[in-house]
Amino acid sequence: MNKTISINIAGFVFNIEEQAYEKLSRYLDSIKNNFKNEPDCDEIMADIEARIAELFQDNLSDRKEVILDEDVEEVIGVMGKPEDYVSEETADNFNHNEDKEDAEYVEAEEVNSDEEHRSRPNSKRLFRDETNGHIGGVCQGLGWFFGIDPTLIRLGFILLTILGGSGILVYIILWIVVPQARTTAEILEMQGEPINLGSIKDHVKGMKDNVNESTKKAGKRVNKAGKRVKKAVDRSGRMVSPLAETLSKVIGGIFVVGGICALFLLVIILFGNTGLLPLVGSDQVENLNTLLDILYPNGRSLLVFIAIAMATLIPIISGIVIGMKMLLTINYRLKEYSIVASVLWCLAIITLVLTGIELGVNFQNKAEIDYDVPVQIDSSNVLTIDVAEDDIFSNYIEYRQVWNFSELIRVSDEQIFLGYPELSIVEQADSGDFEVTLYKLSQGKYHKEAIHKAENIKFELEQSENKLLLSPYFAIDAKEKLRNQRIKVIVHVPKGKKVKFGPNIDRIMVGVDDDYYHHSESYANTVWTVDDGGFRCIECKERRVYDDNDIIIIDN
Amino acid sequence: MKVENTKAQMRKGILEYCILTVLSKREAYPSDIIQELKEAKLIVVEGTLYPLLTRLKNAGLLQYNWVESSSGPPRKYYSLTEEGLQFLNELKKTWNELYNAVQLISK
Repeated sequence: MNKTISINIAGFVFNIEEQAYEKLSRYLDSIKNNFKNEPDCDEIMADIEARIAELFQDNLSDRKEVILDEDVEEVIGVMGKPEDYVSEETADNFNHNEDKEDAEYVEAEEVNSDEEHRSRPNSKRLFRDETNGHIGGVCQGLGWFFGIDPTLIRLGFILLTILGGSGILVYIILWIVVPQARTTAEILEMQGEPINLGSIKDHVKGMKDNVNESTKKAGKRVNKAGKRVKKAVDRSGRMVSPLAETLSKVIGGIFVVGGICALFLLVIILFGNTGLLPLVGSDQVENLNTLLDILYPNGRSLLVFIAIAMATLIPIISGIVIGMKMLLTINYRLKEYSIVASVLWCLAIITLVLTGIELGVNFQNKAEIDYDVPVQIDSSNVLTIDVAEDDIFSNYIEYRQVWNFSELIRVSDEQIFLGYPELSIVEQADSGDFEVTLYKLSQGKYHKEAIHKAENIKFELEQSENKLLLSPYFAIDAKEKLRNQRIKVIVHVPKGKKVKFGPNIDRIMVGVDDDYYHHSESYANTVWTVDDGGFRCIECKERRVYDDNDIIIIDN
Repeated sequence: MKVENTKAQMRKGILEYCILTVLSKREAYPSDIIQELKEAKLIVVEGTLYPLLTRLKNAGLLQYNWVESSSGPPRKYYSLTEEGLQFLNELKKTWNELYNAVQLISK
């Protein structure tokens, strides 16, 4: 059984054991004694008492209503023994007397180290600054080296990347070649700060006027403790010029908006229906997966698809991330992300290259099979050539205006339709008769395979008197892969005879020998003849020109 | 000259700088500040913080609000004044320079 005393700390009533009270009382007295010279002694004591009251409150509960000896011990442990106050507080006081001695001591120290420094080459060197950098610290390092705001250098790299793509390469090379600044000496060399002690002395002197006394003292002798706060200081010490910041935000905004648009398009291309894309047009286009399926060897297309997705998504997402970072000036590090993204991206590219080589091997050999197509021409000496109705692709497609050739590929369950047969009109030099040759061409890994693939091309060519009707597409088996299968129809026209193109002829590619002059014009409903000067258009009135869609009249 | 004494002085010097830095991030009451400083091993006991805060406050660098507490007396929540912020920036610069200087010297 112990006697308790009721005390008031910071307006709160506590019951405290007598022994504990004695201790607390002594403790507070001795602390107060430390501050007795301070003008704010009362306020400090009030603060300390308030905290003690709080700590007591924490220790009390329904079951425990009395402050015991150990509670006081605990509070003293938290708040610190009187000696702690002495060493950290009053030390300051008697140091005022030592000031003069102190100053001399510092002076001497400076002189000594000054000499040491003269023996060091005080040149600036290029290092990477990983502490302050975002990825490899290359830009930060260059910033130190040239004394420019690193943000501007980062912008430069980004511009280089956008304009020529060389930015990333240069960055990676610098990342590899330029060493990281590890030691303090290296950091100083990197930053190129004037390391003469005069400047330090200046700072010290300046501080005497501006900065609190105690900071100065600590500054003179600080060492180990400094390391602990180095990081915090480094980060906060980084200054960005307003211009660079604005520029950086603008470019960041462009990156984010552009990146999100690009991402949107890419996701549609990769995962959606390509026909949704306004760029491709409203016509149905096979999606990327199908196209890869019919091109790459079995089992490869998924891998290639993933590689393509990664190779395209990673730069776009990185762009968005970097843009966000620039826009919001968030200080998160991208180091880990960059490494992972770079590795994945490189893997994707390597995959694409390897599968590309493999694919290339499948195109190694070429085969060409020709078939003679008999034609009957009566005395009119005019061969009419036209293209049949297109029941697979659109009838309105004109070959010359197709720029996305996946538009001319259609995959069904049994067959792959390819809508690009070619027609060529050449002069018949050997005889006076029309001659029509059908060529089936293909490539393959082996010659035999190429021949086989060429043979397997299905193409319809209707021949009636004075007339040749070509199918607008040819077909291969759905199990076959695309190996540059092509259909070429070559019509040899003897001198003095005529070729008339039907209204649908522009659906396929037409080449008239010596016709480079009129290559931008439609062939529909035109008539050609061969004379000594080669091919000549003899009925070319109202021939359409593709360039401006005007109808022009050519007088012959 | 006692090494403990010197150590304490060193700590004390940067202590003000660190307190200002902590408060530049957010408003805090002494226990919060203590927590951060303890993590950084800059301070061992709480008591030494109070006189420092009072002094900084009287120098016009800090200000405080009273906030009611559920467990005990109302707490003083300290924050930086405009002057305190300038002061901190000044210290920041100096600190960087001193840090570099010391690193170089002790190498």
